[in-house]
Amino acid sequence: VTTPDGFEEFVRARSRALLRTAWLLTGDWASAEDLVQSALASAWPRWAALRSPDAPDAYVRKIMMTTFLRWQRRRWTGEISTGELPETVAPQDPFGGADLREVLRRALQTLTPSQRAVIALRCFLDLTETDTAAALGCSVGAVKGQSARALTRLRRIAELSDVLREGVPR
Amino acid sequence: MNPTEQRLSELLHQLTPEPPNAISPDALSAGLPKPVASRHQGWRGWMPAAAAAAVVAIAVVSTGLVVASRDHQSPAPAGQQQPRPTTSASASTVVPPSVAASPSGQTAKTTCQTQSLKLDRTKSEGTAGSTYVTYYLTNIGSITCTMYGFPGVSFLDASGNVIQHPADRDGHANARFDVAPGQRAQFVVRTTDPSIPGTGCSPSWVSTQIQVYPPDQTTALRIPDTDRVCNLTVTATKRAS
Repeated sequence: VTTPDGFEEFVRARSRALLRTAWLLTGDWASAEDLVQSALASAWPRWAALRSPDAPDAYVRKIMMTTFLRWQRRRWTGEISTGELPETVAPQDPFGGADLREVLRRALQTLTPSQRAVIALRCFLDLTETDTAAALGCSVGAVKGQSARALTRLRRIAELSDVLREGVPR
Repeated sequence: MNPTEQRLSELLHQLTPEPPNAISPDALSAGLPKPVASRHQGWRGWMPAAAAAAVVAIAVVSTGLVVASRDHQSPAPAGQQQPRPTTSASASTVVPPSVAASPSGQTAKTTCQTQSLKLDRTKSEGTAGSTYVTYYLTNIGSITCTMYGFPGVSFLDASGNVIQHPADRDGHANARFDVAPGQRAQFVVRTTDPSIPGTGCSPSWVSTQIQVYPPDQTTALRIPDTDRVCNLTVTATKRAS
């Protein structure tokens, strides 16, 4: 048994990007690391069989999403959704970026896991609706529906509604 | 993407933090449990059986290597010790031949491997609405290899994320061709002008690197490359003229 060709290079090149995506899904680094490690561990036995050049990215992405959604269905994850968010940030606040990040993190946690997955794939990884559907194993229609519901929910969050209406403050 | 999605996308790109630690391939393939306390009850418990078995197998290999190099200086981490392929204490027999043997003697006329290729960019050529850039893959190995089909091309931002999506394929594959040592294969990447209405692209999509998987390879080459990125297409590889 030996590590399949390209696996180590892939992990080195892509683990940070995968971790960032996983952070959006899970909301904390410990779970994000669990998720990425599990996805990579599941991917590598079949690594040598991946032929097309873009296959590793798409394959690991899909495994990561499947794993994430399966974890969320387990009760022991103990996720508690909350509608409460930190207080509004004053404009020009030097720590505004950090606060806005926390707002965003908690806002994402108010979404359902599937909605969060769609948002991460569409808006962070910038995948097309078709590729998002492929990663989640659902229809393009379902992607559109989840995305629309997620955006509606995020727009209702006071701290985000301005940003989503007017763009990111520079 | 509608405007709200667009703004959320900007927000996510801007605010998603960099991870405190990258994942080390060595720690991963050694199957070491993570030291970080977590809500989950240890990731190994949730691995599919095949993956778990595979990780144990790798752990055996790396334990062998550790023994070979360190000669009992430190005890192997817990959880790696159970299945040994041999009872012999000799470290060299623990290392499977596939690891010990060097991959020399590669037969002639195999597909060009990533490690024997070098990627270069040429100047871009603009036409109305599109920019075309030719890239070369030079055979820096010592034997003639062959190439057939499309490369996998993505442009990456400063964080290493793919901008928009990997390039779509344009046209048909050419016949398989030889690339002798020092010879080059070429392919052309087209990008659309993002200021044209209806492209769905942002003028802020500017790459810092291009990532190219040569045809049939799972390892990519990357070189610095600052280009606008919008609805990319890529041609099949062919022998460079």
